[in-house]
Amino acid sequence: MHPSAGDPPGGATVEITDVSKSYGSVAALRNVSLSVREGEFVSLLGASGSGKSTLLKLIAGLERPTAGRVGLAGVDATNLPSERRGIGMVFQDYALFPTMTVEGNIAFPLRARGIRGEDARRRITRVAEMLGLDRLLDRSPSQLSGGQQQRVAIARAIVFEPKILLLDEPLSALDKNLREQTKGEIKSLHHRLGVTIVYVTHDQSEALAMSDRIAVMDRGAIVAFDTPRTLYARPTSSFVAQFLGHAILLPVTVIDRSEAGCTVDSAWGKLPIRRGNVILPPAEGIGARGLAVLRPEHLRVLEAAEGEGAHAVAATVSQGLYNGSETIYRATCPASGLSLMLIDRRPGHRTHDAGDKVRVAVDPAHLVVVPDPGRPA
Amino acid sequence: MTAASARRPWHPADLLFGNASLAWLAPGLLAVGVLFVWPVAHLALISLDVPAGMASPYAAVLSEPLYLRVISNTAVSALGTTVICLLIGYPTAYAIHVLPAPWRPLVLASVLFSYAVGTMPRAFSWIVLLGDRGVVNQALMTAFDLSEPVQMLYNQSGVLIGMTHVMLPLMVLTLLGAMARVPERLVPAARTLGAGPLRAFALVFVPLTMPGVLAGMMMTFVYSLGFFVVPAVLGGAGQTTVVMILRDLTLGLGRWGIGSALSITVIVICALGAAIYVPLARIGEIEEQ
Repeated sequence: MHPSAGDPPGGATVEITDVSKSYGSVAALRNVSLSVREGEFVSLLGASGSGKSTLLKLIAGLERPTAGRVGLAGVDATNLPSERRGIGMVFQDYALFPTMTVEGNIAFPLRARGIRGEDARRRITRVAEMLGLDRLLDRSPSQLSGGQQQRVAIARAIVFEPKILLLDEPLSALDKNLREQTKGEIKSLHHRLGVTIVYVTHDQSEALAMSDRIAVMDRGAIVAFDTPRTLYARPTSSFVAQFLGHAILLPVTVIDRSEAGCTVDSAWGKLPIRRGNVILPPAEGIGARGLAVLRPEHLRVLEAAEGEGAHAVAATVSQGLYNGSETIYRATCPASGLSLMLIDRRPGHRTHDAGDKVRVAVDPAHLVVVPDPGRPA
Repeated sequence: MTAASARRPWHPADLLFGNASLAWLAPGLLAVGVLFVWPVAHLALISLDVPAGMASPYAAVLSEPLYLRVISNTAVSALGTTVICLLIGYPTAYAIHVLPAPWRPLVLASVLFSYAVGTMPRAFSWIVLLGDRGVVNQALMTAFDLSEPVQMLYNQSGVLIGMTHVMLPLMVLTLLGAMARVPERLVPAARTLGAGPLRAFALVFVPLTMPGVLAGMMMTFVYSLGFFVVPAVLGGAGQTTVVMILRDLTLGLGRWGIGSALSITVIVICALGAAIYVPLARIGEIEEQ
């Protein structure tokens, strides 16, 4: 049952099939399916109330689904109690046991499994060293900083080498610097243990940085499930585009559609869109309306020498924020009525001040057109 | 003059909101002073005011077996009541704690209702139930064909039944307060870490309620030391308590000197007990948890 302490535990699959969860008349999850591979790092990303925490509780066995099936490691776990699911879980507020020392907390899951003595001590020492807790073992949790408490919570959740690790917003209580550092630590822990991780967060930068795949959740449903790069570069809806990274949505109308892609008309003139980047139903032809997703890195301010430029519009700089490696400009574009964000990473580049009239060009090669939810074609 | 006092003249509001906010304690201190410290000091004076040629009443208290037996009777009843209240009160409080929200106030109200009924009617109600010709004895005699009733009252068991009945609501309420302060996530967290429901309860939930257990035990015990009505109504000669003897000595026989000495002796014993128990039970740290 328990692999020896030297072996990486590896990961197990998580298979959610048609799961719904209602609290009275309120539906927290509607018909959700999700398939996580062995050793995969999957983030559940969504705003509060999107159902991401409910889904995690169903995987942990802290809640039972109203309908559907929860499969863990190929076994139907829908009605298994938490203690028999072989999962490790890190709670948002860490949920450390205040009446026990750090060592007592880490030893708890071993005690619960009847692992004692030398074997237990070896496992505790190993995770304590891994997480830099070896000098804190006899402290009480209340004597630790937030970052230390969080590492105890992680140590406690991995000491019995579960094949599935559930993390519920583990970074939200940490300050910004510690958050950045811990992001890297969780990622390398995942690499070292090979464990399957399901990670709940509302922070898109955490999800983008750590995940193999991200499930974007909205109002109790998974609206997109793919790799961070695909979700960012080719969002499937305006919701996904705005949830991951900064996006400006430019209303467009299809004026030509062919094998190679399509051409759209917009406040920025005619823009060619590549075929793979047109996320509109195939039936929608000429006259269909959509939204082009403009990312800050697709936009740049034209130099005076470049003249009018192609795919460019006039804009007025409203703010420039210099932070060393880059300058972030905000500009208003009267023709489209949009407020733009641009990131300039060219060192020593000419800077612009608030009020400057500039021309902003868009690179249409990476533009994606998604359906307009407020303005169906 | 210090820099701070030079900056701003003293203002009467400082009494309430400045460093002198101890003023908030004034009503409490006044009440304790007038209603407790002064009468106790008065008692102490009476007990020490020995006419020339007479033995100190303390010598009488400490040499007379009756008084020592009465003190030990009182302590035994109080301790027994405390233990029984804990054994019944903890499961009761836990049952109320885990009740679904709509039922909790209802059950809590029924607990409080029994608290609201005075001690006297509650003590006499047990005579109706457990007396020689009470409901229980009549049922037992019919069912088991007994020729004589079972003696349940006018002995130690009668006193313990009556005192437990009176003290149980206080124990339950104290324990409920402690249970409500247990962070909601800790037991589920223990379950995800592999502990079954019993182990999670015993290793995580119960230790977190220990401050409430210790506080509830102390309150029940101290309160039980002062019982008069219950042992008088439901106890026998062997359950005579300090309070009953005090009443006889002072109001009945007018022997104020020895009555005062007995009172002070009990107070000193209680104070010594508290001085050991409070630091041991870390009652001062309850708020921190």
